[in-house]
Amino acid sequence: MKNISRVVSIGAYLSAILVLAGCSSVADYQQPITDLNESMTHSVVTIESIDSQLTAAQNKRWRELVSKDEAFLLEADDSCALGTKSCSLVVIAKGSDQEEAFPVTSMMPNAAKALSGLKGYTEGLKEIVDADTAASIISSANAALASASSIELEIAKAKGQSSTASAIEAYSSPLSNSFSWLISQYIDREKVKALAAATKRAQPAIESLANYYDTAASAAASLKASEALDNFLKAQSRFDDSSMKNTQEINQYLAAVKSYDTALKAGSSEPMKKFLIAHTALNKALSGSEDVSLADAIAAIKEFKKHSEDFKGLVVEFIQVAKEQEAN
Amino acid sequence: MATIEEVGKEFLAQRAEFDALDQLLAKERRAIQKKAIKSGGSMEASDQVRLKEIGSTRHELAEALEIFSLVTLEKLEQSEDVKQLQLEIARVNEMLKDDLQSLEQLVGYADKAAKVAAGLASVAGKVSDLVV
Repeated sequence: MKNISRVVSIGAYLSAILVLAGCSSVADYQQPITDLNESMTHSVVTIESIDSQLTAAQNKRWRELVSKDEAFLLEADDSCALGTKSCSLVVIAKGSDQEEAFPVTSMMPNAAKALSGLKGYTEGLKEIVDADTAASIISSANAALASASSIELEIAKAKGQSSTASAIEAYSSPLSNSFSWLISQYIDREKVKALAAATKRAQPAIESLANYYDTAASAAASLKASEALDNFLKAQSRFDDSSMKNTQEINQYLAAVKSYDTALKAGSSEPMKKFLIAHTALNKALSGSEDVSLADAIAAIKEFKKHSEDFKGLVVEFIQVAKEQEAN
Repeated sequence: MATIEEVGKEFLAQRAEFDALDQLLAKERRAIQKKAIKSGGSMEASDQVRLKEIGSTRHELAEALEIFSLVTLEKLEQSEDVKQLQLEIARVNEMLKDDLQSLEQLVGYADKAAKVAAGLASVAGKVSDLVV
């Protein structure tokens, strides 16, 4: 019995050390990390839409160049012949030796791979916070305690003390509670340590990737703005030249203004910047930085979540306007 | 070969020049139009020609911006650090997998300890039956 009391005391002591050593609990990070992961999904969808729009623009440009004899199509090397395994085309710009697959399937294949890795990263963070390791260990520990109690009773029985109450059973509840608490604290700390190490290591890569996508999004917005400006100037010129400025002509001019307006507004979004702010805050909170609290990290993640939803909405609206334009 | 950061900075600087030029042309167009409105709505022939020139220059500007945007994306994809990014993120993901496995191993150890204890209890039971 004395031994069991000691175990309980040591358990409580160790728990106190563990709690004092690490203040934040993994439960505090569960919701922010879930939000970060969900928002990442929105960002991935948004960036994929941007890529597909850019890819369409690039293919359109190649077609224009080919039609003006400023670029040439030819069969890819080792293709389109008996015994070869595929048939495909490449395009070469006039005066260049560089071959590019035509049609282009993605304007940012390397960054797409990195983005897919980043999605895996936020999922990985979520798996760590969601793992119910402590519960599983506690259940195993309780089973071990029950077995230990049964061993004790069997030994007592062998000694002819069949009516002796089990000491382990008597202490089972406080022992189990202390053990559960100790294990929870230990697992919590291991999880927080793992999350802190991962976010710290990922931070520079995320900064670069955010930089990449912010520039890519700005370039995509510029591309859209240039197309919209072109359409707007055509409408403006038609309006200038028309002698009778009737309702139909005014409406056509207004439609071009609206589409240009949408393109200009979409240009102001930076899909990864908010993610970077949210991740930086999370990284600092997990590392115990004094200048960023967990509350700051949660606020930054909420802001990113809202931003990613808004941006997705803008992209959807833009694509809709672009489709309407194409249909007209 | 430039880095992502360098491509980004160059893009912003060039884009600012495009914007400044287009805004200048748009302002000039507006000034010509306002002058015409002030003089009763009629526009001088030279102003009409200038409006056409402005429109044409802005068309060229739009085309140049389109090409510049596509070239920027190509530069980003060919930047020296983009492939490193994939590798680094893959390494972090491996690290997270290892952490998760370590946590799962803890469950495994606890489970084994419980099974050992259960086994011992069963043996103790059999031994005690023999003794009794």
